[in-house]
Amino acid sequence: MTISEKILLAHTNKKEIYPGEFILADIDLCLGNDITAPLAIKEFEKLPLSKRRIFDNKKIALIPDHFTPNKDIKSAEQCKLVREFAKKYEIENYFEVGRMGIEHALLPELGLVKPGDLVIGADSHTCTYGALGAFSTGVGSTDLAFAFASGKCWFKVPQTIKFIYYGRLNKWVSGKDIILYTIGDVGVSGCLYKSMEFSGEVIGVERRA
Amino acid sequence: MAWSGEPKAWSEYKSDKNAHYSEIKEYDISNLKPLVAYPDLPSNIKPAEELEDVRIDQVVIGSCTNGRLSDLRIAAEILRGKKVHPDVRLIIIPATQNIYLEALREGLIETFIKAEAVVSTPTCGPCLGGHMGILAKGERAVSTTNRNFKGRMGDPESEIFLASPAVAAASAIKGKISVPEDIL
Repeated sequence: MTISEKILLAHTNKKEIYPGEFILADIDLCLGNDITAPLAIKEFEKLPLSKRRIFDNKKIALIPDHFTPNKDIKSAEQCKLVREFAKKYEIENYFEVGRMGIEHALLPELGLVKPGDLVIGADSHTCTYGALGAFSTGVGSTDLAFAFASGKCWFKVPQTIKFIYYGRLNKWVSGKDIILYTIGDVGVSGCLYKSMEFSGEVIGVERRA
Repeated sequence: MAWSGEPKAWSEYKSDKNAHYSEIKEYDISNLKPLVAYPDLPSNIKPAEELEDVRIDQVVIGSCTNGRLSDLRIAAEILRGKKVHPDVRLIIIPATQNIYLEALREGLIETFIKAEAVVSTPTCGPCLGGHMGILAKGERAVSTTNRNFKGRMGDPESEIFLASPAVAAASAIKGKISVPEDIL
C-alpha cells in the first residue's frame, strides 16, 4: 500500500481499501478561510437543529487570510460571519488578524497538522500538508459544512503517482524550480484525482511544501 | 506567537516496497536551472536565463508556497545593498506573524525596506487578485505564488510569470526577468 492508502485506511473502520473505492473517513482537522467558510457556515446553519452540532471544536480551523485585513465592506462582512460563528460554537482554532497567517503556513507552524493526519480544507492548496506526511486535500464548502457537523468526509481513494528526484541542486535552484519542472512535464491536469508521492534526497519538508 | 509546543502523538507511514503506483516518474535534477512559468499556465516553463528583456511592473514574494523564512532569507541575500528597479513595485509578504517577527529579528525586513520594497502583513492578497497588488491592463508581474492563469492577479490582460524567490528578487532589481547571477 502507498502512504496515502495507509492514512485513508487508518481513518475508516475498514480492513482494506483500494484505489477507486468510495469511503467515508474520520477527519483530524477541517479548514476554512474567509472566502470558503462563510458558504460552509450558511449550509451548516441549515441543518436540522438536532444535527446542528460541531463534532469537535478543537478540530476545526478558521483562518481569515485571503482578504484580510478586510479590503472592502463585502470582505468585512464575510470575516464577521466567520468570527461570529467561531464565537458561537467556541471554535478553538480561529485566528484573528494579528494572530492570523496564510493558512497553509500557519497550521504546520503551530503544530496543528502532524504526520499521518487526514486533513480537508475548503481551499485548493490544502494539499500542502502532504509535505508533513499527512493526507490532505481541498474540498467544496458544502463538504466542509458536513464535516463541521459529522467529523467525516467522503473520498474516492486516489491512485498514486510516485516522483523520484536524483542528484543535487545547483546554487539558486529551489523547491519552486523542482515543482515547476515537474508541472512542466506532467501538465497542470497531469495528476487529476491522483495522490503525488515525492521522494529523493533533495526533497526536504520545506521543499515539499 | 510561538509554536504550541505541546507534544502530540503522530503516525509515520511509509509506502510498502510492493505498493502499486499508477505511474513512477524519475528525474535527474542535477542540471536544473532556475525556471519561470510564463502566462497563462504553470506548465509553460522555460529557464529564466532564456527569457530576455521581459520587462516587468511588479514582483510579489510571498504566498502559501513561498512566504517562508527560508524564502525571505534568499530574497534578502540578493536584495542586500541593492535597490528595486525604479519601474518596479516589489511586494514582500511573510506568510505568518511568526515568520514576520523572525525576519525582523534577522534584519531581513530592514534589508527589504532599504531596497525600497514594501512589506505586508500576512495575507493571500495578490495571489488571487484579492488586494495588496492588483495588476492593471497590460501590466506584467513576476510572482512566487503558484498560479498564473489569465487575470489571476488583476486585469485579464495582465500577465504573471511564476518563479522562485531568487529569480523574483533578481528580477525586481533589474526590472526584467533575471537570474541571481545577473546581480551578484
